[in-house]
Amino acid sequence: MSNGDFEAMTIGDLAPLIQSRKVSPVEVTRWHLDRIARLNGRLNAFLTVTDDAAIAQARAAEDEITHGRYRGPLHGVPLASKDIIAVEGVRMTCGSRILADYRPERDATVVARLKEAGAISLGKLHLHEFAWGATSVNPHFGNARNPWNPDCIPGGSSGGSAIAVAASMAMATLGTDTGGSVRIPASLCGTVGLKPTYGRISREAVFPLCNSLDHVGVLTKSVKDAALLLRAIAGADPGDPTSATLPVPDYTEGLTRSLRGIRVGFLRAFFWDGVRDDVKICVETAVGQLRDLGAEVEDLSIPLMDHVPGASLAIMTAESYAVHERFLRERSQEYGSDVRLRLLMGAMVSASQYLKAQRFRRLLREQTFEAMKRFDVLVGPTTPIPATPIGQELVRIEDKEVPVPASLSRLTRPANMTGLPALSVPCGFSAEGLPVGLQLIGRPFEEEMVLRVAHAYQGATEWHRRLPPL
Amino acid sequence: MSKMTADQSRLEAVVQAGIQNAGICLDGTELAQLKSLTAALLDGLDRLDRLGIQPDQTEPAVVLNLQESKDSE
Repeated sequence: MSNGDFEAMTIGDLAPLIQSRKVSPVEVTRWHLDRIARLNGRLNAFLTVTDDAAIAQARAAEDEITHGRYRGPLHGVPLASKDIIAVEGVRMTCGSRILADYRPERDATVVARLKEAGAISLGKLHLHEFAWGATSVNPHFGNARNPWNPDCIPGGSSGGSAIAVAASMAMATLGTDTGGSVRIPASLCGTVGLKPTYGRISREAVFPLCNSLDHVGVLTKSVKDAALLLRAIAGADPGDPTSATLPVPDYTEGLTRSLRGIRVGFLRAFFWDGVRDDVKICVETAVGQLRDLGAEVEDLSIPLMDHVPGASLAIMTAESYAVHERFLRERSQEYGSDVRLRLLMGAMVSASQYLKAQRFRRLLREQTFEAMKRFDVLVGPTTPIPATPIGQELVRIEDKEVPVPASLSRLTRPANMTGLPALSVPCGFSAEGLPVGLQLIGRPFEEEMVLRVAHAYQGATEWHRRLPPL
Repeated sequence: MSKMTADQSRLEAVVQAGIQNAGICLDGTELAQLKSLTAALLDGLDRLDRLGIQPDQTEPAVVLNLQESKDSE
């Protein structure tokens, strides 16, 4: 097999080859480890690479498959996790000096489930410090870099997770999403990023940022791969009391169904203000393609969305301050300046303000759910802007200067505030040749519909097949 | 007191109380950045205030769902 073959290959392509023993798990793992060795110095996607353990896992997978014990589509497939998700015995820094020497004694539930499915763990992925930021600019471990232009941010906080997939350093990765931290880097790096419904995936042994908004999600090359990963890791977990007990469907089953008659709400107003013109063109074109596939598209606005940035910020700062209060008091100087200040903002939020922000979520949910009675899925841009140069603090849109982190997370925060499933899929390129993402939002626990619409879109477009020039 | 002065005074008071509560020291640059960030935070909270959201009777049930515990016995 030539080296280029794995680069363009999805898990959906690879799994049958592993099952039929045309490709060995050791071969595909070695290929990815070589790729990491070649590219990580430039892109800084991995904080820790577990070479020896990965090869040992790959050999074990190969042995099982050879002896007829094939576990399923993730068996022998090399994956990696954001460095905020515990892997037994492997350093977990959370992107911070404060936890630079921490080694968890057991796997997070999501990691244990991937191991049970036979997946290979390549290592731990870079992130914005403690997941509190959208750029993955990191003063402790160096900046993570966008594979499409290494002078630009990959987005965050799961920056390394998106880079590793876009640059084919892993077949797929795990990330976390509190205000968009899976979907933002997926959009900026040109991968698929899925944040499922709140409670769909366990967060046990995942370092918290903000418990009422935190989600685990997946970053993949294709929508089908996202369905495969979700199926493997979703479901109730006694270790996470917020995990849902609903049964986990086979998310690949309905993927190929037609979009004829599917009702799509095209999010305007809040979701269209402050969006750069070239991003708008990509999204409008994508919505036109959904219409061509048979979907019935209607414009939609949800007035309470205007208050999401304010309420979301109050909740994130207050809850993250509660998580970090002791570290902040005792080791404040060990945080990067941006994260230290964001955490400290939580000390400015009163109990009554926090409760008002949580009450607002109830109203927002009611208004959004009411609007969604008319639609199967909502669509809009994932981010208002493509990747910006590393270090750029402000972005000018429609004659206004906006802080880059605020712009990046503006359109992703609503799905965290409502808990709704949301997915970013590549839908074009900006004027500078950087990826643009289309966001699809579904009803609670209706990931199947979001995946179905996104899969149909990918079937009609080639954006996800483009590879960065590495 | 002009409105601008009242807003500034409130911002100063909130930031000083927060820093004191957190028990940490900041240099002048970080203090200025924190004030700017907090001004945006307060602006968002004031806008929420103007929505006039009323307390919700279901709030305690979210935290203290004894019925659920009883059901699972």
